[in-house]
Formats: sequence, C-alpha cells, structure tokens
Amino acid sequence: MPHGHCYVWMPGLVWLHQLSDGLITVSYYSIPITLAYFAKKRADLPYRWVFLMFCAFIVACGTTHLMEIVTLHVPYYWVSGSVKAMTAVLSITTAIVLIFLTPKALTLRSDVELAALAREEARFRRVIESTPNSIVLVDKEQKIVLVNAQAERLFGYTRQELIGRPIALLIPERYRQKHPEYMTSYFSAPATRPMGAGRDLFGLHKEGHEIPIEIGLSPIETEEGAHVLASIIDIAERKRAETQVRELNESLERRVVERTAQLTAANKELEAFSYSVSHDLRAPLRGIDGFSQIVLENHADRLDPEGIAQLRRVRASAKRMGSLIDDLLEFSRLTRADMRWQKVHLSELVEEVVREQRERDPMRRVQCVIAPQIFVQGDPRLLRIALENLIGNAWKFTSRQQEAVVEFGSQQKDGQAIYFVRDNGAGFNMEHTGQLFGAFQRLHSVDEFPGNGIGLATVQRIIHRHAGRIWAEGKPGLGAAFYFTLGIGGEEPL
Amino acid sequence: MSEKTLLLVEDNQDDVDLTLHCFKKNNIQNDIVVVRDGAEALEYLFGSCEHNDKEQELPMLVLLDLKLPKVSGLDVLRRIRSDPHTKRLPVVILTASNQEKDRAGGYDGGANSYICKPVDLDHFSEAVRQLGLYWLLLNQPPPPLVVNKTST
Repeated sequence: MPHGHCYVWMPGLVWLHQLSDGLITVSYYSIPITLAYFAKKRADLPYRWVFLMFCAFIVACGTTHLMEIVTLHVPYYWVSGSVKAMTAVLSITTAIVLIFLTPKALTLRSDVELAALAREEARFRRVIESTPNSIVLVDKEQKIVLVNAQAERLFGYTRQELIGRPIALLIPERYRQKHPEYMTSYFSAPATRPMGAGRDLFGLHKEGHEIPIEIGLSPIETEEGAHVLASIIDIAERKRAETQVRELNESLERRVVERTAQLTAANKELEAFSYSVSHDLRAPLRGIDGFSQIVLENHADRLDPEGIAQLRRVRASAKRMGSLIDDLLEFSRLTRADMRWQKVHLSELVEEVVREQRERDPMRRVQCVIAPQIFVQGDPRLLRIALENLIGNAWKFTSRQQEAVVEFGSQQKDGQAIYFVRDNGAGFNMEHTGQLFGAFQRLHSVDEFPGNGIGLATVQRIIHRHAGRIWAEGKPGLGAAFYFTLGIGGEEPL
Repeated sequence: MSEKTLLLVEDNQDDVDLTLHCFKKNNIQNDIVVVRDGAEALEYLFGSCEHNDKEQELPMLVLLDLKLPKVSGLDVLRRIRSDPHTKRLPVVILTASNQEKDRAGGYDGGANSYICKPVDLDHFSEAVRQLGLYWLLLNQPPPPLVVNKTST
C-alpha cells in the first residue's frame, strides 16, 4: 500500500508532501554539484576529501527524499529503506569524521588571521626587498630558496632563474670546488659570520664576469630544515676606491722618493759648491790682497801716491769680496742646517740681542720696548740669528735719529700670532719692498749704512724654514716695521 | 837637518810665497820645507827613497792644508796619527776653509790646531806670527818616540 493512503489521497496534503520532497531533492542534488565545483576549483583547500564526503552524504539525503515521492504512489518500501540505510551509513561516517576533524579544522587560519599573516609577509617581503644588501637564502641541499631584487640586479638573473637552482651558479669556477666543503662545514657548526670577517670574495655574474663581494652569513632554522641566509654587498666601488687610494699613495711615495733624491742631490751639489767656494774662491783673493800688500811694503818708493791709493783700493775690494763670500757661505749653511724644534722664549732672546748691541755700541742711546713673555716653537739658534739681523738693522738705521726707538712685540690676527720689530729710523720706500729680502740687495749705499745686503735674506730664509711669512712696512724717514709669523700659530708645522 | 824644521804642506804657490813672506816678516828663522801635495808630504815624513838611508828626523811642526792634490790633508793626518813614529807630531791645519765639516774632520783626525787663513795679508801675517811664537817657542814639543824597529 502506497503512502498516499495515509493521507487519504487528500490532494492538498499529497501535493504538499510531493512538492516539499521534490524541492528538497532538487536542492540536495544541486548543493553537492556546487560543492564539488568549488572543491575542484580550489585545489589548495585543506581537507578536500571532506567535501567529497559531504557531497555523497547530501546526495544520499536527496535520494531519500526522492524515494518519499515514489513511495507516496508506489509501495517500494524495501528500496526506500535501503536508500535510508545507505544515507544513515554515510551520515554517521561523516558525523564521526567531523568530530575528529573539527579540532584540526579549528587550527586553520581564519580570514582575519590570514590577512594579518599576509600583511606580515608583505612587510617581511618589503624588508627583504628594501635592504640595501643582496639577500640569498640557501637550503641544506645548497639550492637557492629566496632572493631579493638587489640579488637579481647584482648577479644579473631574474628570481625565476635563481629559485631552485644550486648556489654554485653564483660562484666563480675557481671557488666552486671548495665551496660545498665550506657549506658542509658551515652547516655542521652554523654561526653568524659578520660582514668583513675575513676574506674578500667573488661572485659570478650571469654574463660571466666576477663581482667582488663581501658576505655575511646567518643560519636560519625553518620548518623545511636548516637554511643559510647570505647577506651580500657589492664592494666593486669600494675596491675601485681602495685601488685608487693605493695607486695614489704609491705614486705619492714614488714622487716623494724622487723629490727627496733630487733634493738630496741638489743639497749635495750646493754643499760641493760651498766647499769649493770656501776653498778655491778665497785663495786668489788672498793672493790679490797679499801681493798688493807686499808691493806696498817693498816697492812703495817706486809708486806715486795715486798708484799707492789704487793698490789700497785693490786690497779693499779683495777684502770686501772675502766678506761677501763668508756671508754667502753662512747664508747657504743656514738653509741646510737641521732644524732643532723647541720652545723658545722670544722676548728673552730679544733682550739678549739688545744687550749685546748696547755692549758693542755703548755710545748709542736707543730706547727699546720689548713685549714680555712671548714664547714660540722654533730653532733657538736660527731665531737668534734672525733677531740679531732684525734688531741689528733697526739699530743701524736709527743711527741718525736723536731719539731712537726699537720695539718688539706681537699681535693676533685671524688666530695667528704676528711678531714684529719696529723702529723709527731711516725707513724705506714701499715701492722697493720686493728687493728688501733678496740676497745682496741693498736699498742704501754702503757709505750711508754699511752692510752686505745679506741680513734680511737670511732672516727671510730662517722664517721660511719655520714655515712662517715675513713682510715689511715702512716710509722713508719715518721708520720700518718687520712682521713675521712662525708656522701655524707659532706651532711646529707637521 | 835642524831640529827646528817646519813642514809646510801647501799646493798653491801664492799661498806658499805669502806664508814664507809672513814668516820672514815676523823674523821666524827656522828651516821651512815646502811640499806641494799629500803624497810628497808622506814621502817626506815616512821616507820612501832619499831619506831612507838614515833615521828620519821629524819636523818640529807640520802646517797642513786640507785640499791637496793626490792625497788629501785629512789622509796625511790620518797616516801621521796611525804611525807610531809620527803619532805625537804636532800638526796645525792651515786652510782656507772654515766649514764645519772640515773643522770636525781636522779635530777628529787628531789635529793639534785649526787655523783658517784670512784673506787680509795683515791678518794672515799676525796669525803666522802668533803661530810661530806659540808652536816654536812656547809650546813644549813631545818627547821623541823610541820605536823598536824589527830588522828588515
């Protein structure tokens, strides 16, 4: 007896059951299709087989509802019972599986978590991409797992060309044999090896040339096992700079050696020259003076007064030349003498020089104003010679002054000490300052003020040897002032 | 040969004449032997040929120029000081050079005095006068050295 009898074939009731079961069946058949389609498209879904179980179980459910419609009209109760039994088995299985699967499914990331993870990964990616270093991650099989854009640029490969390839690809032929050993030993005792900890290395560019690089290594443990993170910097520019600096240094050293040799040679020549002057140029002068004198002594009776006077002038000239030679030799000696740097009490030195001047020339009345406590770095012997000349000049050129004043002091300009010796003597025309410091240059005649014209040249040379400058200011009849500096701020120049 | 002989080692004839003139002018009567270079000086002192036959009398004083042909003054000095026969011989360097290097070399070599010849003859004459007075009269000469010569 079909089920319809139970509903006493009331058309409303029969149709209600039929239509409901029909709709349920259609729905139950369509849901698995949708699910299967979804599962097929999303190959990455975890537990995809659960979807298949759901499909089977829902199809079974649909079939039981289909059987409801059939049994309303035809009493195939065995068939419908069997379908129900099958549905029961599938349902129970699915239910049991679900119980076991749920804890596992719960560990699956939610969308929020996944998004956070994605952001995290994007950030990590950006960090990796934006480090100035090239990054290469290598696994235990020595295969490249990850590279960043800098590494692509450095080695000339795209990341697709690198990922999964052996690291040997980036190592020059000559190191390749040794490298696996290094890797093995590194993995056996992994430790962070900082940049610059040791050797200069080379990488191999896609185009075949070597790139000088520096590598820092860090071991990284991941789920897929031990990895090595290599952080690489291109040191080509630095190498070039280093090479350039080295070459510059070498050429500088070479030039220093050359110059020193030239200077030594020049000094040797100068020394030989001075020696020769000292020995050979003086001897004829002694002859000129000596025999003139002998003529004057032995043969004066055969000379008229004019002849005698002229012979005396011959002698005077010879003597003057002798004194010029002496000055010249002394001058050249100053240039070659070794500098002995020490602290010098300049004021005291001036006092001493003035005292000696007064002893030599007790008749002169000269007022001396000496600034106290002036200390400098310098060679006391040379500075004394310079001051003797400057003070001596001031003394000499104030000889016609009623109230002679000689002044020594210092002033500061642009952080540098400037020392000066000033007088109110004969002075000079500023137009002639150029000649002032030349050897054997004189602005006055020997008759007016005696001298060989070597004094200021000597002073200048001494000041130059102290890495200083010297200049003069003056006005005819109003005196002269000589200014000088000693090194940088009076310190020993480096 | 007089015991009061002077040896003048000087290559420049003018200087020889002027020196002799100054000696004469200052009434220094001693014999003055003039040799013209270092080799001659050594030959005179250590007698290679003509002075070989008898025991060489040493001069009382050697006036030694530094810049000499053949053997330099400093080499002559070194020879004099290294030979036991002449090592006490008074040597006065009489030269044109007042260079530090020469002065150092002279004293290091064992010179007894170093005189720089002035250009001015009056000064030179005065120097010679004092030199003669000091070395020939005032200064006591070293005792003669007895050298045990091995028979040759």
